[in-house]
Amino acid sequence: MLKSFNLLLMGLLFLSSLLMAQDSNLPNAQEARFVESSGPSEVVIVATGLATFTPKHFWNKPDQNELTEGAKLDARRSAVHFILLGGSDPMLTTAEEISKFKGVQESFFSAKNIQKFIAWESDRFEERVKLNEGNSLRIKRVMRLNTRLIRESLVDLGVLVAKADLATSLGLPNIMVLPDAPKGKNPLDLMRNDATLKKGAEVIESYLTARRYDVLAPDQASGVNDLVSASQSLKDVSEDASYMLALSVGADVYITYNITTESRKVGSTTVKKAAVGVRAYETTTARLLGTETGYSVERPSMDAVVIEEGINDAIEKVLARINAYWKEDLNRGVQYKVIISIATDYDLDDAENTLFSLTDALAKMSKSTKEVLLTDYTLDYLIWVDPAIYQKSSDIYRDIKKTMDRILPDGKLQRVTMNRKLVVLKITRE
Amino acid sequence: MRKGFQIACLLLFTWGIISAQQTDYTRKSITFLDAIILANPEARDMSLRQIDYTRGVTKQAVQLARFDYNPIPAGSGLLSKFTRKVNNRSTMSMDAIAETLNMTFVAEIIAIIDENAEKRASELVDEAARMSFVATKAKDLGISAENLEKVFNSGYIYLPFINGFSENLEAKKEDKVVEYTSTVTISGGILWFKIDYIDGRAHVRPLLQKETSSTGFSNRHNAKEAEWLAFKAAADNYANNLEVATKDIEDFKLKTQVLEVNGAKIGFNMGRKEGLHIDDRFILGETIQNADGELTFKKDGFARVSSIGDNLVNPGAMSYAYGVLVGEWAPGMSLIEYPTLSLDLYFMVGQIPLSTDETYYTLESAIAIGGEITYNLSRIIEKSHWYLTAGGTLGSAELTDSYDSYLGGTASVNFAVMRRVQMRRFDAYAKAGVAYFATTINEEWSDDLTYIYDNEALGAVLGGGLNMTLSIDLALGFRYSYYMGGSDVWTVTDDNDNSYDDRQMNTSYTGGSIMLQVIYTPKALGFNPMALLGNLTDLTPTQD
Repeated sequence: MLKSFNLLLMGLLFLSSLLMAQDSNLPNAQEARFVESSGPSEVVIVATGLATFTPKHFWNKPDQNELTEGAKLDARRSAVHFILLGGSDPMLTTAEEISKFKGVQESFFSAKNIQKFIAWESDRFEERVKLNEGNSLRIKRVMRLNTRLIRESLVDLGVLVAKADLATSLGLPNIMVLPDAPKGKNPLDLMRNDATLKKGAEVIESYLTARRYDVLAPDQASGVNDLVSASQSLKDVSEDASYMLALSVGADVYITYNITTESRKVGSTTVKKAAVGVRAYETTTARLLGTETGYSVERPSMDAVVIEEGINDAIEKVLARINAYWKEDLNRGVQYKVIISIATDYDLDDAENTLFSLTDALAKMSKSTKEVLLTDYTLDYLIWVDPAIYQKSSDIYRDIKKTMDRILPDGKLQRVTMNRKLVVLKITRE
Repeated sequence: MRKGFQIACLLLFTWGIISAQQTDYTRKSITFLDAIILANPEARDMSLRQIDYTRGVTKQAVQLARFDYNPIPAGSGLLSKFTRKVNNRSTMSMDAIAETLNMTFVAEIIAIIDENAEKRASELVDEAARMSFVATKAKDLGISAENLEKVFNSGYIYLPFINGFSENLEAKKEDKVVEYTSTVTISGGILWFKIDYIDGRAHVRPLLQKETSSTGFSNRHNAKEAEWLAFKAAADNYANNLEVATKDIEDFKLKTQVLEVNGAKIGFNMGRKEGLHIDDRFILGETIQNADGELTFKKDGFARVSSIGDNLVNPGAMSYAYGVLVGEWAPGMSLIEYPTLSLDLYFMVGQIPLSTDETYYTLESAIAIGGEITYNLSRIIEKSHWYLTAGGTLGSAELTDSYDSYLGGTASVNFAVMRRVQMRRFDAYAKAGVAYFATTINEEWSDDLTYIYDNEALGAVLGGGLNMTLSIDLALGFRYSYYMGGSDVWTVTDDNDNSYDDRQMNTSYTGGSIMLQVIYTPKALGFNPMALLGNLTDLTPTQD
């Protein structure tokens, strides 16, 4: 009986191994190299394809056309695989997304499905090498992929959350773009006076708008001075003009960049190369989310061309990191920076009690909080609130006001600045 | 000079190593100096006319469509300065010439390359770069500094040289008429130099040399004419050999990828711009990686061009080739030019017809050998496998009467048009043309006296053959030829050249001939057989 059971078990194992051994649609090579972002929704990749012929009998020989077509298909799969899971900034970032994708990956990597993401592929191979005594073929091929279609397809499959859904619950991140400014220099003045920096901002903004991000134009008259006077914590960083501007306009994220161009002569032709550094920061904390340097190819072209090429090389990776941050932040709620200062004509005890009550109130209102600064007369908090309850900053203001009315009846709550990221309030004696 | 040659030989050896990963051919930028180096005292015996002619035909042969040219402007004074420097020295190595080039020409050549650099660089922009943001969105040409540097580094200089020259003139008087036979031999070649352009500085270095030797023959009543025709035949053949030798240089070989495979037909992106010709040969192959990770290039058959794309008008135009030795072909494989002269040499053995209707006589040939040269007309008519042939046979002849048998020989010469059809490794052909026949029989009358009987006839030949290709330049097959011709007149002379009355005997060359044949396609020939035939048979005075 036991022997029969063992035989049955072995038979089942053999059958299951046969089933497992069926051809998978996943790429064999899983090797690709990013070349450039040729636009907001297209990237150029050099992908490796590997096809292998398994002879049934020793005299069987591989069909060369089948082998080539197999390697070409595998290169397409490798390219898409690279976009999804490879490189430093894959499209699928969270464990949940990767897990969901595993459920659909076989159908996703089917030949028919994968083909629609390929916008163009080169007729020529970058490399073609036979391996395994001629039974395997490895090729490298340049191809251009439409990342927007890949993203949309993954949204349709439920692997990714649609940007529209993100917008409903949290809103697309508002991004402000400014050039890097040395301490004491105003980035807006730099941009006005330097055509190269202006061009850089235009290219990044065009990239962002094409990706449907909300781009906020920096505005000098946005009450930066009011902000500085409202909070000691901001006074300490008031020399970081970009940060202050981002806070003042309520950007979720701000991007700074710097551009360096170099030129030399090849014969009598001047060739130029641009190096562009792009950094993304979380506005509320000035935390660095991502930084990347992009390089253009050295060309005998206009400055604008090499600058845009350099930016294209960097911005895609930085945006991927912004998206990763945004997705993560979505789980915590909507983030606000709340700064409340109390007039110094209150004595220390009253001010302290008021601040304690306010921090308790903020903790109740929020899904989570983070204390940035708490002084005798000022609090500076980051709060993450449920967007279903607090859809805008005025909802937060209203609840704080209710608390104020209860704990400090003689106090008056004044709005200094309120935008989608920042709530700056001042309490004065009535 | 010898040391220079040794260095060149070493360079030639290293040059010949085929790398495992084949890269596509990129156009080279060639500068030629309208000069010829006379490398030894014999070469300096050449007349000015001979030097000019050799320089002209060499220039014409080496100016290939695959090159861009940077001509040194006439009257710049540099050329005469250079020529003086080089020719005034008794011996000169390639290094010394390179140094002279560095001092005289390099700056000017770089300036000429510079004028056209962007245009030439735009032709190097590959398909992937043409699809990049820079080309599509920014509407830029997509040229990179790398493309430009490639243009500046694609500069080569060639300099023809002659290191051997001999003339021989023999006079033979017959019936008070003098017949001059001239033999001229030219030895020499081309020195190739490469211009390296690094960080804005250009430097010429010796690359390699290609050598050849060629002989011309002529037979004329005028001594000067005989000498000149022999010289021309030698110089023309010398130039043809150098053309193939230049194409055979690894850097100059046309190389590309197979883009389409349809059975034995392949498509690739090269054409008129590279000077492709119908029936040109290309080796197919691929890179193989062994278990140790080493890469090797494996040849896998060859193909010949059947149609040429006009990529001068449409850069994406495809050319097509038919497979002769067809391997396991697939898109992406490498295609490498195999340059040869555009002719085939046939070597035959078999029998040829020879007979008589005379009663009591038999006349026959037991065995014959033959040779034929077939000139491929594809360069002129742009159609595949049309040939002009010139060939001849030489066989035994035996005349038997009731008493005795007499031995001799029979020969034929024929000129024909041939059409060949290739079916993978097999090819069949048919040909038709005119033929000249001659037979000689010797009758040993006594120990001191031999009578020689000669018969000549004009006729025609029709024929066909079937061959099997063994390798890219070798085939084996057989031919059937049907000769038509005959004559009844036999001239009689003795071995002291005394003539006697003609004899009448029916003689027929009509009949079938079967021969085995080996076909070889050479890269170079020591002499031009067609010119040899023309110069030795036509004794009418000609004007150059």
